[in-house]
Amino acid sequence: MRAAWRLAISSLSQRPSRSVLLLLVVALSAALVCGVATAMASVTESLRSRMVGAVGTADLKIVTPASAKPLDDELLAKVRRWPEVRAAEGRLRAAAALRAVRPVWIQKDAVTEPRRDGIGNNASNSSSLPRSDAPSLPRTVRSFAVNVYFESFRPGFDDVHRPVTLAQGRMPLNATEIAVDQTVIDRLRGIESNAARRSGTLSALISGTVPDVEEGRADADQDLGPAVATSPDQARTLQEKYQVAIGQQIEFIPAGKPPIKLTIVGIAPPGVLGGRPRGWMLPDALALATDQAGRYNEIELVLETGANAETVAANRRGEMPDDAVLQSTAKVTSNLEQNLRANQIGLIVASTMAFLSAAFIILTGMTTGVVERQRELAILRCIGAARLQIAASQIFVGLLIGTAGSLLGAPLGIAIASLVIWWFQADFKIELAFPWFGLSVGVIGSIIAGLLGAAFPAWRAARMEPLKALTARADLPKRSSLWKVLAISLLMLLTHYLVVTFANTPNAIFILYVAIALPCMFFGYFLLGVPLTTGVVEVGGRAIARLLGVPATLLQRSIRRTPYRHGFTAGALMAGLALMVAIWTQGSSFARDWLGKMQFPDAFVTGLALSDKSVDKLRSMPEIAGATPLSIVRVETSGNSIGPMRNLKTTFIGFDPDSFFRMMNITWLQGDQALAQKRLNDGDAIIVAREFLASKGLGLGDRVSVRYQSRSSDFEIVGVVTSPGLDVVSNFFDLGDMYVDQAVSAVFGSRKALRDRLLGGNEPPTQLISLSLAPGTEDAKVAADVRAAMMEFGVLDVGTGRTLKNVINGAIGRSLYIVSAIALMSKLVASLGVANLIVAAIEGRRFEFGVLRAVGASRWMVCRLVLAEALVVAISAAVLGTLMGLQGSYGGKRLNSVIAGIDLTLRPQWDAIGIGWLIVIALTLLAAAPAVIALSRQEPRELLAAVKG
Amino acid sequence: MLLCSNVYKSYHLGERRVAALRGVDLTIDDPGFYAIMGRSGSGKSTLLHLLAALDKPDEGTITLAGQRIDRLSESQATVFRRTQIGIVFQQFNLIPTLTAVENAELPAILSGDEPAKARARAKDLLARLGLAERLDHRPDALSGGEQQRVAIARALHYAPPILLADEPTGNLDSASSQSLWGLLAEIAIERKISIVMVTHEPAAAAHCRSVFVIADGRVKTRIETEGLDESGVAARYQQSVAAS
Repeated sequence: MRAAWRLAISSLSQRPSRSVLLLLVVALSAALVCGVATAMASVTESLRSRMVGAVGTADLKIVTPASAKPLDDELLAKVRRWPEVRAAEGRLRAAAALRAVRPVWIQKDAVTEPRRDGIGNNASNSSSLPRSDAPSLPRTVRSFAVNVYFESFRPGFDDVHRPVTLAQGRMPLNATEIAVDQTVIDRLRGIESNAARRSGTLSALISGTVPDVEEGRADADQDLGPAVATSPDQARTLQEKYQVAIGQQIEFIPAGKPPIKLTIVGIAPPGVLGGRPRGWMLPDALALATDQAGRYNEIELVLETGANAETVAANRRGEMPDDAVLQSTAKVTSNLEQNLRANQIGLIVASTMAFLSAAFIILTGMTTGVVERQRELAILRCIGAARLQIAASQIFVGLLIGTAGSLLGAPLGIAIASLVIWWFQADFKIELAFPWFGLSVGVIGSIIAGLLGAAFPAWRAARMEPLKALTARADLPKRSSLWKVLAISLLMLLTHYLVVTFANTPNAIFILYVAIALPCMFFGYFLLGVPLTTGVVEVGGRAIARLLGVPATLLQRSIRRTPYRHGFTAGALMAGLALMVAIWTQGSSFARDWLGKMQFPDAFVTGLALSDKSVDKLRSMPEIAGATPLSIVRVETSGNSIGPMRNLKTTFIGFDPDSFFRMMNITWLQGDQALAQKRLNDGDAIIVAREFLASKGLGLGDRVSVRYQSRSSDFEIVGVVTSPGLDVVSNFFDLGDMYVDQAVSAVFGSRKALRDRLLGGNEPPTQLISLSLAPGTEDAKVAADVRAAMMEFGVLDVGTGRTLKNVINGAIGRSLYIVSAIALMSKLVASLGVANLIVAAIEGRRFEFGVLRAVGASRWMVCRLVLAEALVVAISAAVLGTLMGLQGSYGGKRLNSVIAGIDLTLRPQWDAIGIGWLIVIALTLLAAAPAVIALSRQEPRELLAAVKG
Repeated sequence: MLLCSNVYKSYHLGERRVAALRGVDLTIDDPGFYAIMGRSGSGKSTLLHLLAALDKPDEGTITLAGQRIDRLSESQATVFRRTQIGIVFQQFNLIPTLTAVENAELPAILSGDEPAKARARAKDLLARLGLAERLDHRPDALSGGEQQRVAIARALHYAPPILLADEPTGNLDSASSQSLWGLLAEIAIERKISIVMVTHEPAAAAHCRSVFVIADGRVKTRIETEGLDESGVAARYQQSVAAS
């Protein structure tokens, strides 16, 4: 094998520029995969740490999700008596508002941008700079309030089992102390950061000016500083001194009681990936403030050494009160792990496509090299090189390119991802995580790409007959082989179409799509590139030749001579455009057909357990035409549609039918509202959204079994409606049951049905109040007024349907741009393949170009001829990419329909496609430019000398 | 040493079947420098390819150094070419990215020989061929004649009993050609090997001991060149061709 290595090194060094190009192809592909894997892993780990933070490290939990009956001291005392339990504590959660009353000397809008300098921003960035021409700045007193999600924190127990990482200070040790996260601090300082805007919540702070304390308010003892700042510098200093920080007091706003003063003792970093503003208090303090003494949302158990959590849970489950669930924390996190594992499948699929593209480029490049070195290889065979040695030398070339590419690309990808994460650090608190799995995929994928790409050239070189190679003449590929390739490619594309069209269960379509349809589509279009490129030059060759001022015959013959080389290069170039076309077509269809048709409520209020008083208060506001409370419960549904349907996670949205239908503007696709309303009031029926109908095949008159914990009940579907968007709202705000059990689609029934048939008679809590607004009301004003009115009612968020739609649209838009960036990088990688092709084409035809120059062609005509070939490849790639993108969109449409029940009407985004075409053509011509410029500088005699050995 | 007996070989050229050799009988008993001459299309290159075990005859036998090379398998033929035959072509002889000494040691590398010994043997051969100062030069830094001498050094690496040369001076000027022919004649005598050269140039044939004239796929005449100069060889060749 030493000989094979020597020959491999010789082969690589013979054409160093092309070897470098191939290396770069692999390196960039590896960088792309490793970069995306690193970013995904970082987000995943952040989600996981957020989850672990939410779940803690206790062995078991007793929870009562969505039930009105909380856990109590009696149950806590009972579980503490179990011999296998070493320790047990209750945990309380609540939503409430915090308020800070502060003096302000620097006047500016409350909403400003923070600097990107992490934790503990000082006051200098909390407001704008003072007007430098102001001689003195009078003080006003303002209050800033924010809705906070509170958790109880018990020192000793939670330090171990659910520790909170702090950036400053400590956790509370007595009832007058509070710890909060940086988001709360920012809001109370009047800062609405990017994180708040982009996170899953729509929270806007409440800000108002309060009468100065000198006018006799109860907190006249509050030090507010001098009434006037004599200079901008003094104003800045004062502002900083009186800013919300550790040691300062803020107010907890309980329902129907005077505010409770609390001292800030600790500040935690902002939640990962944004998230709600958070606060922590001692359990008794929080219970007292929220009138929940002796009650808990969950009880955490730490077992004695050696006790098995699952065994204990199984043994003790029967001792739980109704609706209380005893489960191990491992089981709770397993759902997240399942979801996160699904992301890895996506990464593998995407990586496979990226590396297959790279492998095709290597294949084309190396096969070209084998053809060019035909005589040299023939000589080697003549002097005694074995077939295996020749083949092995090619495989070693592939191995070297793949290995070197991975060594270059993996660190580059990690570096790029690190840069992106650092750039967004101020907005999203994401810690860099190394994705060992993703990196392995990147490295191994690179090596496999190199080996795969080298396999065909190795085979071709090995089977070369030395005699034939020595006397080789230029053979045009047979027409019949092009037809065969066309037939095979069309067959593969047809396979993709048939699979996605006729697979009609979620599991089947997903597995068949990943295993069969997607590879068929990918390879089909690659192969199609060969006949298509020939077709493009036959049909459009004259026009292109005329455009560039070159003889059409020369252009057409050069493409026809090497259709595989040109076709596969076009194939490699198409992938980026295909991705862009598919994403933009689907994304815009999603925004238009799913989100656009969603009929969100005019406005909504969210919370953990909103009271009837909060509903009454809302109804009394003049801007509010109607308010209806809603309960969100995660259930499982099953039913027979086409074959038995497995249990599916679904959201049950409970409402009062009379007020709901009075307020909500929904369209009935099946059923009659009057009849349905009656049945819903009876409590034995549900209505479903059209996505449910589409994905489950269940509609009017069908029966659905709904299961919640241990209770199960059958309901008849009495109507199918357009989605009121409430399931989106509930998912958006993480309402309903916890722990990332994302439900697909929703069913709607009465709260009475929920109470009597699924919750064992317990009143379901209200997590969402849907509002209809009086005509002529402004969104922003309504949201601010509602927030102010709801301050004492423990709401989590207030928003409007229009704002929510804008946020989701914005998220869709950002996703499209991110994927477009990935598509662009893919095109860049492929353009290196084009560069390789052009260099090879020039090197292989130097004598031909020399003859052209010798008989009178100008140097620029020769260059334009090469550019014309590149243009043919670019146009072929653009056509392929567009077709593949559209076919991919069709596949995506079917996946959405079958799995999620979302029906999209695909309308190609011609502006995005047009931009994609321009990018492909521009990149291709740019990639060809260096070689063409080098060609333009060569004299005819240099080119003619290429015929000598 | 070399015996071809009733060798037939034909091949397809497009739709046609061309009989390149139609019963070639050729015997070389003694070491020396021999030429095969004939018009274009006479079959001389085909015959050389058969002698080099690059192809197999349709009929007949070819015995080289006591071995029937028409019966060798593909892998046996590969090893045979490496160790028992030396081949020099008209052009593209050398690997462009290897130096002169690396090209010369290539057969040993392919055989997996000990690198130091292979290098030493290659250096010695190149020195004997007057290329001691050119060991580390790549082909593009060598003249045509120097490149052919490197090819000869490579061909002689395992001291084969026969060296085949297919128009080795086709790309050289007359002075270099004369020099190369003289060199081949010397090697044949010094090393007591048979060198068979395909050529169409009577000047080349004049350096050879015998000339086999091939026409219409057969060896028509064997011209002994002792006492003949270039014009004499040319005249005898012309007579032989005219008679056929």
